[in-house]
Amino acid sequence: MLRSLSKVLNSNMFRPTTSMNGYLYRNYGSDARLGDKEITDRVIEIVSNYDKVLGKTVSPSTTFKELGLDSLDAADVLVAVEEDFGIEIPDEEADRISSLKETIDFIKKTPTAK
Amino acid sequence: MSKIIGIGNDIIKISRIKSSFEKGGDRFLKRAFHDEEINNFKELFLINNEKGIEYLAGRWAAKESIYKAFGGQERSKLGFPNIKILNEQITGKPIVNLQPPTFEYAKELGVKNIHIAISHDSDFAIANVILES
Repeated sequence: MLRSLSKVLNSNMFRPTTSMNGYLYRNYGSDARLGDKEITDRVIEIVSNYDKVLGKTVSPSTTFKELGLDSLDAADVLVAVEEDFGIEIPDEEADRISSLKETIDFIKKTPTAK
Repeated sequence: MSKIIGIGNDIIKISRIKSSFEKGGDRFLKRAFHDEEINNFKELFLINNEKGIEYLAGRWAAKESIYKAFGGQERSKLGFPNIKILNEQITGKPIVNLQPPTFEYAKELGVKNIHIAISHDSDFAIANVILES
């Protein structure tokens, strides 16, 4: 049994060739990037679920101001976005974000978003 | 001769800050407060949760007041973690200590002194700010 286990561990299954590895890596990389639609849908969902926004119409072009959100609400929303996408929005960037579109655009250019 | 170049005030419901902290934890703290303020908050919070939240609410109101006193400047140039508000050891009086690059930005605008007052009463925290050239 041990011999067969070692056979499996030494097999190509766990040691992909360089070209195979490169191919897999590239594929994985492109698959791992979130699509624009998924980013947009998730941001809309996060904002729509925020207490003060419940029941309001939210679209990608909506600004925080239009939703009646003040600076503390905006901080809450961006913290929720960071949490959901597993990213950190630098302070200076966060202070420039005042709409869903700007939030979505930031996530689109953040490759670590998941 | 020095003159007043801006005034600002802000009021915040303390329960809103409590909710933001409960939802966002450290992420929320880092978004709005300087490391030293965060440490002071955590020490206070350990002893008395309410006092800790009250401390944060007072700071938040103070930072918003400063932003308003600067009058329509870009928020990104007045990042809240760069606006450090501590207390004088003996009197407890709040003092503003701007951090780079906000410090340099304020200097460019001719701000030499920032006077500040913070108060709390049960549900609310309030702050007033005067900018002096």
